[in-house]
Amino acid sequence: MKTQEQEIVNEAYEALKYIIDPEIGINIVDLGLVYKVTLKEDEEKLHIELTLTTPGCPMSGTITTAAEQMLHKRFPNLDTKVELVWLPPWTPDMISEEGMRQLGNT
Amino acid sequence: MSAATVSNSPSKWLVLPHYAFAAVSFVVLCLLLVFSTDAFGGHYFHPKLLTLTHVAALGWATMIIFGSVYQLLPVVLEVRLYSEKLGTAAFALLSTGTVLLTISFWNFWVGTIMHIAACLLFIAFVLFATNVVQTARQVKKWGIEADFMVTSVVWLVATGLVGVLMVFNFQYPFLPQDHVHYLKLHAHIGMAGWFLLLIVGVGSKLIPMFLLAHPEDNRSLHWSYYLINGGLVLFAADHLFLHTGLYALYAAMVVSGIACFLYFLKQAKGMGKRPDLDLGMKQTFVALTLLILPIVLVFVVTLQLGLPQRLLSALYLVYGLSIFFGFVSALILGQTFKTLPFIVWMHSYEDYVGRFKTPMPKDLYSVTLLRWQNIAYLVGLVGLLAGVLLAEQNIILLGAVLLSVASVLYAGNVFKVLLHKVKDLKPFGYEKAAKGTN
Repeated sequence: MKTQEQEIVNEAYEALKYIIDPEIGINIVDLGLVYKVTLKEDEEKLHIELTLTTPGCPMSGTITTAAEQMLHKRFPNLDTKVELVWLPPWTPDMISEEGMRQLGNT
Repeated sequence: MSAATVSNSPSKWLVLPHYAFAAVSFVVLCLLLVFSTDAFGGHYFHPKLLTLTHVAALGWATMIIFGSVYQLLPVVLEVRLYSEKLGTAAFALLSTGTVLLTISFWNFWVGTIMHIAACLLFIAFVLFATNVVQTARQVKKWGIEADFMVTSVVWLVATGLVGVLMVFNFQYPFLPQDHVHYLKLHAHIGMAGWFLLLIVGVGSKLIPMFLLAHPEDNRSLHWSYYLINGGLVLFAADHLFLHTGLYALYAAMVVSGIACFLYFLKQAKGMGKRPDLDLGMKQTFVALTLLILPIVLVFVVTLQLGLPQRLLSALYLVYGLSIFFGFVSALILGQTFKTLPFIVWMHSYEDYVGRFKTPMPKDLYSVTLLRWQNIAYLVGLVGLLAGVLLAEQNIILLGAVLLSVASVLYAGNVFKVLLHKVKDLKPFGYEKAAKGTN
């Protein structure tokens, strides 16, 4: 059961990688914007906590809607909820190694 | 965890007309420059030079700054814009006032049309200032950026007020001193109070954001704020009342404030996680480098160095040109392609992201046009400044033509973005998304 739960969470992360931050040009997972993906299997609920690079970012509505639509299509049987959170505040240190590589850091 | 709110972005119909008007103004400015090469041989108080300065300051720089501020103020201050209607009214007044003032200065009609133009512009500044101040009043976490932005609009209104008084003084002389005396005040509070403070305020937030840097120590920005404003207040008080002539001291305060801002940016650049800068950011750093020229020249023209009058007049002209055609224009040319494609992209694709494969903001403009624009601009600027300094009309003309080429490339690219249409979007293959294909 736990393995299947983890598999869905991993698949959710992979699906969210399709959403690219339009200014920076790398996906929101490698950018470190996705804080948490949790699955309550008994309730069939997928809960996502994500943030933005800055609280004033005009992309807030676009990215949350995109994440909801992407996950709803990917997991049509699950009830998906995307929550935008500000704590802890995002910093560039949250960018993954892959993200750093895509940004041109060696 | 604290939940976030929805986007604070204003309507595109408020923001985008400013970019369109500014792009057309830049083309007009450079074409007028081509027909003004004879005006650079003497004093800066010349109808054609006054026309060029006001097209640059109002139609080009202030116009695009107004539009950008409506978009960026909610990003920087994290609140909604106070009123879009005030913004639309300010646009109508600023655009009409700019056209009328341009025609008046070019023909040197100092009567009713110029009076109307000045009043329209002043009301536009008051409306804009009201919008910025009322927006800032909603801020929950006040930062130094808010100080810069609010203070800059106070200087804008002060600049406009001095301008209105000077315009009426042309026909009904009432000011105690000559026009050039007030022109210096008008120009410097406009350049350092309005443009510089606003650029520092917005730049201190946006440039680190674009570089992916999070500088936490902003003490240098506080120093920058107090030094620039201190220098300006002392300059204005001295110029109007005290007449001690310690202008080099006030200039040194403003320059020190700029140095503090540049130090902040240097720290941010060092922390940045984005080593590969795009053309927009490269052009921004070109603009910051171009600041060296007016910084040096402000001391040359304020210190009594005993330079020959012809050379001093030329240096005054190069000083003004290095600010409007140099620093301010270079910054706008770069930052336009950091902000405009993003704004248009957001309004065009916000309903499609996550469902369709969409282009990126950088795909909305031509990088080739931008590259040639930057090259033509830089060579043109060097030509213009060299021509003015050497009093060579042919070199001025060459510089003006190259700047015109840059302006046409810029406007072409701006309208390419503005007229972008969504077409032929392909949906994602969601079922395969987790496997990394689509």
